[in-house]
Amino acid sequence: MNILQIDDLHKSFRENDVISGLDLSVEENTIYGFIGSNGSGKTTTMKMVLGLLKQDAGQIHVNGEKVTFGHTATNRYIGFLPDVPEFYAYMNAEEYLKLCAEITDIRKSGQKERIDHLLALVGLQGVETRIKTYSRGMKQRLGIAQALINQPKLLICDEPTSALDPKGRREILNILQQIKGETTVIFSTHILTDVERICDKAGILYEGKIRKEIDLKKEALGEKGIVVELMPEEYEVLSGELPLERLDENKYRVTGLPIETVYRLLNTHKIYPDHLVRERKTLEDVYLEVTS
Amino acid sequence: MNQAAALFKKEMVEHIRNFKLFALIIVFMILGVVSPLTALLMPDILEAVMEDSGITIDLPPVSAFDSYAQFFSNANQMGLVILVIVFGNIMTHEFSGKTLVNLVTKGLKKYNIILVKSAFAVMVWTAAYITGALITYLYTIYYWEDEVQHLIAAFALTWLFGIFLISVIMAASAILKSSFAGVLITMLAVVIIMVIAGIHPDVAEYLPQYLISSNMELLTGELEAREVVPSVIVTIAATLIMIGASIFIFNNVEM
Repeated sequence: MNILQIDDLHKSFRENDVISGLDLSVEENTIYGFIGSNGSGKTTTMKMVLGLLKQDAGQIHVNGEKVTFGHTATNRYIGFLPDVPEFYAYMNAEEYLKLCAEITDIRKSGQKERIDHLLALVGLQGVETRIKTYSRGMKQRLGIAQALINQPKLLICDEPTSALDPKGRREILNILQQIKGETTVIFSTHILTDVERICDKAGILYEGKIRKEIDLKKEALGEKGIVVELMPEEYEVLSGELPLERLDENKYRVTGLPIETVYRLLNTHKIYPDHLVRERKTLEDVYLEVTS
Repeated sequence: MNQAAALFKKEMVEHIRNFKLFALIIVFMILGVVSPLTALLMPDILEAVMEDSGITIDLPPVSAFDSYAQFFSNANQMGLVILVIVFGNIMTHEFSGKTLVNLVTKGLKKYNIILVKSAFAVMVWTAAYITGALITYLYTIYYWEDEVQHLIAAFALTWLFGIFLISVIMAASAILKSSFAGVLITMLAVVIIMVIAGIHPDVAEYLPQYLISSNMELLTGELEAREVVPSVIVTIAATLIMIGASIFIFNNVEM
């Protein structure tokens, strides 16, 4: 079942079409990477899913229920982590999570246990200082805790790692990996290595639509080319027969030919290079292909 | 109901920790003390000043009316300005700080935000105003024995006007999402009402402004309580409309 279903979504700000006919479906218990450049409409899409922004056209369903702007009924299925989560600086983490628990109607007897569990999950147990003293990474971790307080079926994270240092990024990604299985995660970002690391599926948002969807667990991203190391005299021999793109002093990339053809040519000329590898495409390569 | 209670508790903690709760109460305590004392000491002060200048004047004896006049003058000017300053950003600091996003995405109903914040502001205003009024009343009955009329009604007029101002703040904040604009619009609304009252004296008694210009006339018996009923009804209706409009507007605000 799809926890999130978006059909033909449109949104413009004044004359600027930000989202134009976006279709997206996210299966339960997966981590979905929502990739796009800054300003591509990722946050706008997420805010429409949360009912914080009104779409011009199209439909959004969360757990089978229609999302209506201004009403928050479907938000009981959702946890949201904004890119820069803001809190009441005069509270401490436990006080803030208690407020969130009360807002979400978690029964009083279960609140303490849930809060303790989440504080342990994000490594903030025993931190009693007020939130105004927290580092960015600590705030982001508290952001995840507050987003998970209602045990959501869908966790929406808007660029959760983009403002963090490498350590903070790793902590957040580890937490997201830990909760996979408990909840579905949609994770918007322009940091493609983060997506490769934890996502099951990714969609590239470009010019208001999902231009390409990739199942990162099942399908290979394809071959980028064959990288071969050649001596200058070997290069002289092969340059007329192979499309060689120079990478550095002795390394060349062959594109558009099957590896059998390359092997055959090398063998014909009795050239046996020290280094020959099939180079796989990265998500960045796919992203650049789609957006260029 | 749980949401409203949680939000109310959050407002209480916030206003205690940022001292705003105490600021308004302390201001009204000071007004409560200063008003009767000013009335009491004013003849001595004036006499001393006049003696230095070689002028002799005959001042009428100070009465309870002077004490209340001082209180209403202070409360209707400085007191109401402080009220607007303290609560001018009660909504808008949440917009600018984006602190409501986490709570709204948890299912917090937007009407609860308006209702709870309005109720909290009314509660603090009521506590501060009653504190100031009670202090003035106790000092006044201690120093003077004059009979005044419609005392509770006279006090209630300023209190009701304060509630009206809170509703203007909520509506202005929901529309403009800026604390500066919230304060500005509230001030502007008061000025517009005063101008209308000035240009059309015949409609003045139907406007909220009439409440804060009738306190002393009620005390002295120049006005009967029933004569302020039209402006009381208009003010209550305007307050309810402002709160209703705030909820409607806020429900349609994109966050």
